[in-house]
Amino acid sequence: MMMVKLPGYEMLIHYLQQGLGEKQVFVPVSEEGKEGHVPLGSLNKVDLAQMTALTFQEKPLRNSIKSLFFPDTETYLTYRKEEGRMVMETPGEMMSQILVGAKACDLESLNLIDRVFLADPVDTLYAEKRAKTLILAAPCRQQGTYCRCESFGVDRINPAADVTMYQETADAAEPLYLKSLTPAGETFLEEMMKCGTEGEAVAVTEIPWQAVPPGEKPLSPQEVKDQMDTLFEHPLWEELAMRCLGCATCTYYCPTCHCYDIRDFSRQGQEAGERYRTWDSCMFTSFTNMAGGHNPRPHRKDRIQNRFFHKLNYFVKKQGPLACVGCGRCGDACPVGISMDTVLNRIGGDRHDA
Amino acid sequence: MQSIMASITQSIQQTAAALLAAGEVDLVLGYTRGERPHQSVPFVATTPAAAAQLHWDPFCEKALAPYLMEESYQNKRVAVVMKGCDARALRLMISESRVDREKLVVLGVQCQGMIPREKLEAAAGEPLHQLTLTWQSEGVELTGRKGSQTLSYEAVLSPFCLTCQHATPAVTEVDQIIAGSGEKALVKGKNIPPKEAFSDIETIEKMGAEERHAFWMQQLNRCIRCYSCRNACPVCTCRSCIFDRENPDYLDAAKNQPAQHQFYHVIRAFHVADRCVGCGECARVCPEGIPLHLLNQKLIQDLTQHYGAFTPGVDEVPNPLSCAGAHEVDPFGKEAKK
Repeated sequence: MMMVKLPGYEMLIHYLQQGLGEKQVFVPVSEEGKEGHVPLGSLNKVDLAQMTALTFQEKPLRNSIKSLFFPDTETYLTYRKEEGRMVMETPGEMMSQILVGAKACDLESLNLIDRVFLADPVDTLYAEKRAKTLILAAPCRQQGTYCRCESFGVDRINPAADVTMYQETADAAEPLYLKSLTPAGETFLEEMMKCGTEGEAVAVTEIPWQAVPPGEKPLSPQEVKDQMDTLFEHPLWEELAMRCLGCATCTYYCPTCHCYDIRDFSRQGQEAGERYRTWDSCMFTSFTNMAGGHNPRPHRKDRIQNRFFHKLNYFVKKQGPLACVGCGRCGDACPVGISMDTVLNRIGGDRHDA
Repeated sequence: MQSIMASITQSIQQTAAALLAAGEVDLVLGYTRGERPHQSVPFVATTPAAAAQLHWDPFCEKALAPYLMEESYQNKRVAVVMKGCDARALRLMISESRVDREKLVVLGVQCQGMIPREKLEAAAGEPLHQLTLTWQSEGVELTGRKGSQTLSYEAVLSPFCLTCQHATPAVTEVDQIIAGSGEKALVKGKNIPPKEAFSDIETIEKMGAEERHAFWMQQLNRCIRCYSCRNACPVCTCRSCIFDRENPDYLDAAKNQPAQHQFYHVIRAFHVADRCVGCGECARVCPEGIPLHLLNQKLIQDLTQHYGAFTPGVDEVPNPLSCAGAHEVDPFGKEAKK
């Protein structure tokens, strides 16, 4: 483990900018009120105050980091006809990337997706991005207003990243402390010390930063799973179906949802095209449509029930943990205000009532 | 003095409880308080006791008409709480045989206008959960950690409500009007001209073709194809949507194809062009904040210019684009060739 003090966030950005030719760097940005990670190289101007505020805010960004590892649309191969033969090409190797400003819940969501995509058969596109991405995360001093990370057992103070970033307040002028947690993180800090920071980065033995300890007891995945088993026939699902719009907002903003569809695209009259995967949503009727016309989840009730059972029951049975990190994005984005709390309040008493 | 909001809430609750107790309806579709501060969400009461959870305030934005076409509401006698925009959508649905009016009890609310939560938060300069609201005649009084302030309703109301001419459903369209009593607050300051409330349209009109194209490309490319705009729209009432067709799929699912986003959004906007009731749901529900309503507001302005004033859901059908007369302009033919 290595700890480094920088004069401020600007120094880190300055260092990252120098290495942009070899690495793609993603930084937190808010555009028209929508927060997400964008390539540092694509910014005309770096808004340090905003970047610092977004990095150290006590909630994750609105757009989760999953799209950097599992983009909403991703090419498997392109194909074209050449001299009477079909020629296929797969995308080349990706550039290494650095992700700045993830949160503990974001890291936990990757751990959950890892259990699916990195298990045999390994999802090579995802595995490559996981292997080639260095993550700099920032802890949350306290649990956000609409966050439930503590209930879902996420250690918001110690994100499981390569490097953790600390700052006393979210002020760009404050000193920035960095702590490595992995060998890759340590290499990153060593290289940073060696070049580009002009001797202003100093190794330290202590980081002056304190957090509010967690106040909520984590839910037991086993208990939640068992409780859900008794609720399969509960009228709650029909109640939710009568309110849900059947759009895909919750699933697309969810950092742990990872379902996708495989499609082909070719323009009419062109003997070329591509095979790609794209996010799919269990909230769509088409999600379970079978070739013969049968749909095992024909009603909206079946679909919304599946969404919550996948998070709170099926995933526990298959993988162990609950498939929710309590980030609150689904509740933020849902046009009719359905959140994980909507279900938890009903199944687990009123412990989660605001 | 009791605010008009509380009095409408009470009246909705009493009416709903009576309808349910008398067995006149199977359910009452209205609103209740959401989990987030100052949020109201759709709610179905099926018992007189549950009717006590029904609620009314300026956060009851969600259009309820689309639910009436959903599977869960079929073969049931439904009472539904409706704002003016919703009732206009319902009238269109009835004229298109989408719902059976005989099975409905429509409770028309004297709507005072809706307040977008983000707009309120921005105007207050404080997170919503820290705010207590009091409805005054001159505006909404906000009490937060920074003290108290009163914001005019013009400053916080949705632009759709500021331009609305039919806030309360027509008496002929409903079974009962829930008028409420008390401070007649938000009704003041309404009827701002659409050109003023949607001034972005003029700004975009003044752009050159390239700049305008770039603007829409940037906006539409944020689309994640969640279809919330389509699903929330009270006049998007096709039983089977072209975009749900799987074989052939008219729309490619790839989210990195700008042409596909344009195709989806142009079709969506044009398909409801002469039926849009201006409720603002498309823009409200868009999680990416794409100003979809600008397309429809522009279409409304153009239709008025070419075909004369027509108010969907108020004026008699057929709607201007549902019929063609020899004397009418043909923007795709004669006019384009000029």
